[in-house]
Amino acid sequence: MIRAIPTIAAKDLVLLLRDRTALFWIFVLPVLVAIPLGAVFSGGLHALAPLAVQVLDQDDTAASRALLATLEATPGVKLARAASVDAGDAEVRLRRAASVLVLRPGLERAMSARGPSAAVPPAASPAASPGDAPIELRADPARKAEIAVLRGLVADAAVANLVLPQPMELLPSLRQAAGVPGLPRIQVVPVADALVLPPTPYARSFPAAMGWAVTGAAAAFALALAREGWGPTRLRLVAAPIGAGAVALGKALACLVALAASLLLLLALGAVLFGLRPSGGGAVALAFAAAAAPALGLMLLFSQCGRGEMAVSGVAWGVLLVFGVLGGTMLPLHLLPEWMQFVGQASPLRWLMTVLEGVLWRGEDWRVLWRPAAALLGLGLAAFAIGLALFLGRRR
Amino acid sequence: MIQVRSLSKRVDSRVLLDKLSFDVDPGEFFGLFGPPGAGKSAIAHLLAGLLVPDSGRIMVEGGGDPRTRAAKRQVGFVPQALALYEQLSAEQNARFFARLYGLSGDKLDQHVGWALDFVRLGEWRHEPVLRFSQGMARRLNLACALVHNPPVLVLDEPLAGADPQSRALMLDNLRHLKEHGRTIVYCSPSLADVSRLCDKVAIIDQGRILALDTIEDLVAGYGGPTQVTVTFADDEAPNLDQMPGSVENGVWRFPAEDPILALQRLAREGYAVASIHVEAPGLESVYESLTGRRSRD
Repeated sequence: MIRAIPTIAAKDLVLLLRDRTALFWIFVLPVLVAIPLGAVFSGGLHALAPLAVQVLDQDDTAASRALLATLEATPGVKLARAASVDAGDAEVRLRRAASVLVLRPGLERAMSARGPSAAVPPAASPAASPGDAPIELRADPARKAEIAVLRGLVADAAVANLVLPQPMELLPSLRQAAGVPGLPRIQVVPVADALVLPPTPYARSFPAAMGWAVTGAAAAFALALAREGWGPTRLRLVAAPIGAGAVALGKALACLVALAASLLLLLALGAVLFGLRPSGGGAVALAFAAAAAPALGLMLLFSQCGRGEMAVSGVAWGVLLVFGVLGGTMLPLHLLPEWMQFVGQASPLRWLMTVLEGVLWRGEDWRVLWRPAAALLGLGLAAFAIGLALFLGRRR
Repeated sequence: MIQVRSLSKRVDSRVLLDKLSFDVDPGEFFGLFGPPGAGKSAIAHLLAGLLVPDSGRIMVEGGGDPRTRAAKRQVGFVPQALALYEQLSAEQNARFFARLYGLSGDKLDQHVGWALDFVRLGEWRHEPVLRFSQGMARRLNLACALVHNPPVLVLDEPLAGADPQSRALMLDNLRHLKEHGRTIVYCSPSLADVSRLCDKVAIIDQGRILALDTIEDLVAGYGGPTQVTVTFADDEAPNLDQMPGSVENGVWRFPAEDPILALQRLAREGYAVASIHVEAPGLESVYESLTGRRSRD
């Protein structure tokens, strides 16, 4: 049986080379996705989804609550209470929040006390340490645009809630001279180990393209296995002295080789021509394993979900396209409605995108990526086991 | 070489095979004849280890149960459908199937070359199957079963759809294999092919063996007498009250143990005969005698 598996895989790879449709799905489409989609991203598709902000109100005064209420009423901002600074930072690291807004004790005093203004632009005080300012924005430094927008919104909310004697609020110079409260200082604090800025717009399109490679490989080989399972060649394969699972395992090996070739092609293209900076070999291997596991598992499972090629094709493409839409391989996630982003967390392609982006440009290693990678490996193994059991059961 | 005992197989409520028993001796060309749906393919699939019997057993010499790997190595199976990869060349198909039987290196090259030359596809070895005619594909279908040089061949309607040239060539191939001592189980709905090739024939209908013997013994046992058909030159048929058979539209049909005697009598009595057709009993009459219908019905 062991010798039969590479024999079957080699035959399937030769068949793949002669199947232009399957080649298109596995090799051509991913490249087509990577390059034009990257160009689209570079044209400004960084449009912001609602800004998710974790809030920690340490001041807990009427002024701080009023500031938060104003901010919460601002369109495009979504506040959530953080249990602690660390918990908020973790949300930022996981890209579930753009920032942590910490309102320090003394905010109310700063917003109402008479004295020199505390409003100093962060750029003017780079040496200031966290805790100096009554308002702290803890954020991923890569998300500069979002930080700038958020700082402006927080400042607006603070101004709207300043305790000002009339009519001096309109005259900052007079306010300074009279010692009335000014804008509380906003300190931007980088979150350690947070995400880094994509080095190139293609850094987002290449992971999506690799997601397409996984989709194409899984669907094409599911179809090939269905063709084998329902076609006349099945008779010869069953009549041959090979193990019952050799056909499925051979097909899986061919799928793995084709997918690895496609991923390596994309990796080389991305690194050489489009400025990607993949993490080390270990992380790349982890990402490839995380991509291969669901591809093989879903390939085998889908191949058993229907009687005949047409049925299998419908199931495989139907499910994989939904996974793609929700997972961010077809459209950037931030363009999706909020509920779709939430539902999309169930898509294996979403987990795969997290792993691939981590490896391809965020410089993350296995310590950061092990959770989504383990989930993908687990899903792949489970799907493979179920698919193989169905395959063997049907063969009997 | 092959022993089949009390073999039964059902699919849902339909009985495919009902307690079949037969033996195929080494080097024998064994025919399974019956109309479509009689159960021939089910037997072929069981002999090739593709199906599991509901009851009964099959033993292949040198391998035992046909589902075991040892038995599968002894058997070459030609399915009724073309079990080939159309995008691959003739040689790639033959090589792939040969490798599944453990062939490699020089032995693989020799076997593949021999099998393709045997079915006269050596010149076409690099052509993809999708460019083959139906007859060429049929020949390759046979070659892929021969490529590992099995002592037993199970052929499920191997000539179906072949053009006359390929058909003649494959019949020669099969005769050659028979002469060289292969044990062959040949399923066919064609009485002509079975009559030409087989040493022993089982006539199957509705999953049961109606008769099993050599062709000569089947004909002797079930074929009945020779049938004579006489067309008279005059429009009016003579009075044949004393003769067996029937007259219809000036055509007289009668069974005759000795047709020459009957014809001599006609001549003595001075009847003007336009034509005489004498049909010796064969498998068709055996089948008709056993089932009450003609094989083409």
